Amino acid sequence: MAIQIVHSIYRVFLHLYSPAFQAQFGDEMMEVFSEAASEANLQGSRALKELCLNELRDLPVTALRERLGAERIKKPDSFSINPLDWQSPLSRGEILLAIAAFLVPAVLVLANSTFFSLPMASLIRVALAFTVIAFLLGMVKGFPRWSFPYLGMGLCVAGYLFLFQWTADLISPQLLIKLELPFWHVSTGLLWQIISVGLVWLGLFIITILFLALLALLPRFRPLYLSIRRDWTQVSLILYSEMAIALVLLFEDYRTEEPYGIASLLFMAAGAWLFMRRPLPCQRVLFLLGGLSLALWVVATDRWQALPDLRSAAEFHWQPLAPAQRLEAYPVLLHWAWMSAVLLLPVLIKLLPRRGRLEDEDLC
Amino acid sequence: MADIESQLPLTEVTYFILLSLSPGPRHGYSIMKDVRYLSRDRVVLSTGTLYGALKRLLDQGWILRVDDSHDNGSSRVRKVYRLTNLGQHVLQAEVMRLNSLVTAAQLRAIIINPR
Repeated sequence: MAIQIVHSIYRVFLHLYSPAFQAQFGDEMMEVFSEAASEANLQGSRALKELCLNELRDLPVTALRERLGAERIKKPDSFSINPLDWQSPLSRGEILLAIAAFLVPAVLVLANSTFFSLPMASLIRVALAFTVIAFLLGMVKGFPRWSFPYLGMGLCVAGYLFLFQWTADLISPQLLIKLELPFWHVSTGLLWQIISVGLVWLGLFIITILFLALLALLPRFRPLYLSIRRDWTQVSLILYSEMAIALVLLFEDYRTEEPYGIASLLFMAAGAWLFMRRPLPCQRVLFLLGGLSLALWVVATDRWQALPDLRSAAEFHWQPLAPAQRLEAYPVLLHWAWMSAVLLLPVLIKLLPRRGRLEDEDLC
Repeated sequence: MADIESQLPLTEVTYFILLSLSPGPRHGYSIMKDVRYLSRDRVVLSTGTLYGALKRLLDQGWILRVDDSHDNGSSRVRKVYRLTNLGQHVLQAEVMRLNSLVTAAQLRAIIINPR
């Protein structure tokens, strides 16, 4: 029984190799492993464990090395993404992999609230691990289309870790006082709110642009950069995925937040799914805006509906008045406005000077 | 010859695989066992390491992959590996290199104690 389980696990690990390698050596490797495992099994469980540990330690590393070696052998042209790539449909597997970036956190929250009741930190670690693994796999394969959501989420995490403190210091009210804007004392609250919300989303846009500049400098990723220059909607997809993570932070500490969190992630997944199925850039961006709008509508609904269940209200026996609900929900409108604007900012890429083989792409 | 010398020194894995194939063709599992024997259990190849190395040696033209002419009792044709002339020359060059290193140590009367 144990030997059969070991064989099955080994067969799964063989899929880490490239399809070409599997076709050439897969059957033979399986046969050799079977012989080695059978002999080790005759020697005892310790020998079998040693064999399995040896394989488990080496196989992922050699598989990665083989894939990287295969990528290096490819010519640069074949490595590049076809400029019309987004006009050809993705396979089902690719689409599933892409929207898994949004679905996996939703499934985790659902499973946790139904079966496990683990702390949120544990869920975050699992979702983060999944995202990091997918991001690394995408990077090894040169960031194919399905990896763009993970690329966006990775940039958001990096931005949160390295940029957030800087923007938090920047958006303090002291900045507005120093600017001495007319009537600032009347509209400070609203103006400060508008600027502070904008800086968060603009910060993500700046991180994305810096990342694109880095792509342009690295020879291995230059074809990807050129592909993005041809089709700016890819940047919108990256930003959209960054927003999915940041969106989660918009949910306050309400008692009944889980269904709203799941619903907003599902709307984001739907937007990404429709993006990948549409050949025209204007359609793709509209679906992203649609997914984002519906997700934020859910956030606003959550704040409106769930406010009476706010934990502090329950603890202090306080029943918030209706205007307080509106005060909680309206800022979501501000977030929506900034997020939509940032999602459309990549159109500015079309204004950058072009040369050589880059061609304009009609918007619709 | 200059081309062959530019390939040296070989890694231990490559060296032992070529050494294992020097008497004649072998299949993958036999190579694994023979390498372990030749290295006195010091080099234990996993399937990943073995086939990664075999692929490199095939690409370099140092070994060939052929059908096993012996009947193994099953309907499936087994693949075996054998040294090419180039692989043979590379192995000989490496053995000569290692021999010259040992000779240099002996000149300084360094005694090598077998374990």
